[in-house]
Amino acid sequence: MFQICRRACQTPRNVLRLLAVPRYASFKAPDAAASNETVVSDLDQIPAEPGTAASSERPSRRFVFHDEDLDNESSRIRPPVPPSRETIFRQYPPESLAGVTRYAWLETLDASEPRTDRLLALHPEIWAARPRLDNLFHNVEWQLWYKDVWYTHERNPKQMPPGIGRPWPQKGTGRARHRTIRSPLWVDGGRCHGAQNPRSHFYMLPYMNRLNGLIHALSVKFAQDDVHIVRDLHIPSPDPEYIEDFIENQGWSLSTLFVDTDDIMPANITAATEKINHFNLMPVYGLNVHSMFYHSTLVLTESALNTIESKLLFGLHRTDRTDVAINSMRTPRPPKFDYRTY
Amino acid sequence: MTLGHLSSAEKALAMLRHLPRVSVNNLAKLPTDSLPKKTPLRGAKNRNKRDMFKIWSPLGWEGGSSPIFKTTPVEVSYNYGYHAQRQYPPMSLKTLQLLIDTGRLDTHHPIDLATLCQTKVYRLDPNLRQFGVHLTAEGMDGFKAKVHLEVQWASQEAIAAVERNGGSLVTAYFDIFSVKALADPIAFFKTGQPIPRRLTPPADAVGYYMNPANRGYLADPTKVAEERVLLAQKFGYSVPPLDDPVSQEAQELIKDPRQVFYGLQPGWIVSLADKRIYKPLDEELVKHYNS
Repeated sequence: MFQICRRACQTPRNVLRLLAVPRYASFKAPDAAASNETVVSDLDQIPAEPGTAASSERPSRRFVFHDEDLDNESSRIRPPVPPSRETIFRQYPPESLAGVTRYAWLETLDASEPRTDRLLALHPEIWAARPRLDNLFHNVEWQLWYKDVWYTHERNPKQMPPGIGRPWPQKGTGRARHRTIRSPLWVDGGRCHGAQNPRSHFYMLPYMNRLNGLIHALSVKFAQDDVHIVRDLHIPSPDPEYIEDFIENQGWSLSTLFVDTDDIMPANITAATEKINHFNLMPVYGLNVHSMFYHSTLVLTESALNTIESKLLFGLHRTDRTDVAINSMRTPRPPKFDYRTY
Repeated sequence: MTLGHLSSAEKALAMLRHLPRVSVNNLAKLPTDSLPKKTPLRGAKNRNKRDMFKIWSPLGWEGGSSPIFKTTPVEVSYNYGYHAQRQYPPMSLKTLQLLIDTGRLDTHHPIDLATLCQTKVYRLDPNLRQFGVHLTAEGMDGFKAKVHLEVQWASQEAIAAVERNGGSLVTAYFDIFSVKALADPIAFFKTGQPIPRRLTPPADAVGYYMNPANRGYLADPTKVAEERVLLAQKFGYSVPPLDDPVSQEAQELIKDPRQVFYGLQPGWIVSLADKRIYKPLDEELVKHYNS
């Protein structure tokens, strides 16, 4: 779980940067190739997606893209294809006590055709759950605390420099008896039983609280009209102004979180949102309660929607749910020594 | 904004549409989460641990220096020996029928405690001295499945409901180590221990499991066949013959009184990692496990 958490903590920008090092370091100028000089490209010089408007605007590129590993789409490990909406509803028919099924238009990020004529049915157990704001608070609190480590080191008197020795003679002055000015009684003295080692605040929220946190967050965001489902994250232009204008014209709020299944995002939206701090990209495995409420608007692709729904419904309906929930509340302990095996 | 006709979830979501946007800054915990803790009693009112134990001692606990037959002039407590009694958590025929209808149980194979615990619907904790399943008669009228059951306790109505459909039922005793192995077989196999030898029932349970009316596993099979007919006459149905091939297979899979798992003998070690079964060869071990 800790591995997963660490992975989820990485923002997609960091992920992209890590990926960008080998990807864009291999942009070589044709002239400089002979002199063996590597030119590290900026993100502004990303090769435009084929067939878009940008490729026609910038026909002459100085750099040639020749990273075989990333260029070869077939060799790249892609996320598993999520089940379709019909499969999800067939596999998990909504319970009788669940709310009314929600519907959402399938939209696009293309300004020429911002809305398709497809209406998506959203599972009521995920999108119409009764939200508990205290559960959301505990989720956010957990996300902020579990990775927090205090490195405070408070020195005891013996670990401090000795100072001046006795501040005054033991007898005859009428003052209190002191041997050192590093005593804990003194201002700027040492500290008894102070913090000496790194202190971890790691703890795990119980499984059901984490699961319900995601479900309640999605329900709240949808109830406040802050969730938009798009076909994919392709935009026609890598220009930051395009995505800013688009979101303003659509009436979405300023800060927006784009979520896709794949963690290698399309080049245009990566370039467009790179310099804008309130537009962020995130793979679906990194989706979390804090990020959803840190951003005003949540934009999900259809495949991301399917992935989230199928995973959350699996968590709600898994047969070993009680075991998982109980085990997640226990502190893991080393196995008991069993004398019978010796 | 009239919300009276809506459920609580819909009400909450409808109200959220008109409230400010929920964000990281305006989330809050429940007011009861941050209540100050009550300080314990101090001074003369403070009791020590021994006094607390007297007040909150477990059910059936006999404390103090003088024994209970001297201190109390009445008969023993209703809860006397509660902590040592065997528990049999109930499961109704209605639940069993639901498990079969939803495909969680396969009626083509005999159903025992391991099968029921694998459904994760029936919960058993051997650490609480729970010795197995008690099949109750709730839903007996709607029970239509033909099953071959092995339970630890069953009422006459439950037995009749199972046998009316052509199934069979056996009540069998398992000691607590066998129950632990049956409650979670995979966890047991991972410990690497040999399959235990099933112990005989204790003195207060021998009578139950030797009684053919209870379909006890230690009863005489001919008397069990007679009781089948008698029970059918009592409840007014005809006994279907056990000549079905599925039933024959089930009859072949009757467990030995020393056997815990179907198809596995005591003393064997099942290795999930190697996908192999190790059998003892030492004469003493063979003699021990076969006795």
